[in-house]
Amino acid sequence: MKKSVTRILGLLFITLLISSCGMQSIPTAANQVEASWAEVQNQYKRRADLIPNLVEVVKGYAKHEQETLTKVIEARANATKVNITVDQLNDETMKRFQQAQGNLSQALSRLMVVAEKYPDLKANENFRDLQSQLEGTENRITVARNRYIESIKEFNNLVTVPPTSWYNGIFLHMTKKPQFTVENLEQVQNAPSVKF
Amino acid sequence: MKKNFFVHLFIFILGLAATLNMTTACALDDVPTLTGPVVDQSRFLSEGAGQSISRALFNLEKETGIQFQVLIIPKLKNESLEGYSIKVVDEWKLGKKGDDRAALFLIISDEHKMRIEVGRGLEGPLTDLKSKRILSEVRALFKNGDNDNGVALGLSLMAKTVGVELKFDNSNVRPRHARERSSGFILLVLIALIFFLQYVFPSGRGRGGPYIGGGGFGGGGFGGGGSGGGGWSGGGGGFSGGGASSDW
Repeated sequence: MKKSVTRILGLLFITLLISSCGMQSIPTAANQVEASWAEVQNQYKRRADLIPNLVEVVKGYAKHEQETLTKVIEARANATKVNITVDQLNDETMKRFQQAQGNLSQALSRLMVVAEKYPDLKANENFRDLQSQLEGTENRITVARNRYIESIKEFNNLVTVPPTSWYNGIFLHMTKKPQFTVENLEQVQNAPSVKF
Repeated sequence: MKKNFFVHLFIFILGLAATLNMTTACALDDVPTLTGPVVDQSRFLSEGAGQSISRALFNLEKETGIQFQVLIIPKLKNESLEGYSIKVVDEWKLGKKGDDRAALFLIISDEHKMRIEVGRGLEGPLTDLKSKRILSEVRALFKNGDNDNGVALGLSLMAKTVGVELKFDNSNVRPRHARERSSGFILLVLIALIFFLQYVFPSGRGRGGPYIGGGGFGGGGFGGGGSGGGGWSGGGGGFSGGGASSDW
């Protein structure tokens, strides 16, 4: 009698563990994280691709701003060097990524403030085009980051909160993935004001 | 015994209040119901123009599969234009899943702000830059107070940019003031109907949901706006923040 009760309970436990608790949802969430991280990097790359043209145009009008321009070029070079695959994502690599991109955001917004002083530059159609493209890209970055944050929230919940975490602990052994930090969130909300 | 009764009554009222609280919280959701191709909550467009644009967009979707949507609201609460815009398209899921050829033309009328939010499937032709240029043309008309033509121009240019043509029929244009009193009642009935249908079919995302021609309520125009008779809803389209914003 007692034996059969234990057996039923054990069976119930295993069914619960395998059928509903994480077997599907954790890998799905992991894929989601992978996709959203790829999108984040993709949009940052898009921004980096715009910068050489931007620098070229500004150079023609703002000859006395060599220092600001050099800073943008350097920050861009640093940012494009930091490539992190989803498997390499941890608190340390994430910090490096954020720092590199954050520096570029700052250098860029300084450049835009400087550009404000040159009416001819502001009237240049090429510059205005690049500016709208940059504006659009900053918005895409924000969207991509928000989606990453959402997907990480879901993934981290699945691997740390029972009952799915039990399944993860026994079969998958996945660890929490890093989130964009709060100070960086502020930076992102403040930085991309590339408006005129 | 009596005390017990009051305790129960108290708990009952508390529960009722909590439920009411929850429903109002849901009702205050910032994204309006997708009722048709033109959702104009500010009466920004004249009635005739609203109907005409609505029909044109409806036909465009039927013929090409490209879904353009107009949303006009008076104000934003504590949200950025871009943040609200992406929230709306995430909720409405304009365009078909995987195809993603859709775009939202969002206008915040009292704040004089607007944005074109471009679906993934149209990002190729309708770039951020082209969206910005379209908005700068619309801007000139809005500055002159020509709302109807501004919206129509914006949508036509968007269509042209993605290689299709938007055809307007202006036969049904009526002046703005010709709105009859009785339309309020029809409006109420329609709203009640929409809510009812939503309760009965909670997953009203699929094709064939209730279609009410946007802006086509008043002036006896009921039936005119919705003459297509088909459904108007999102089909799971994806957006990733493409497009441009402008003010006027």
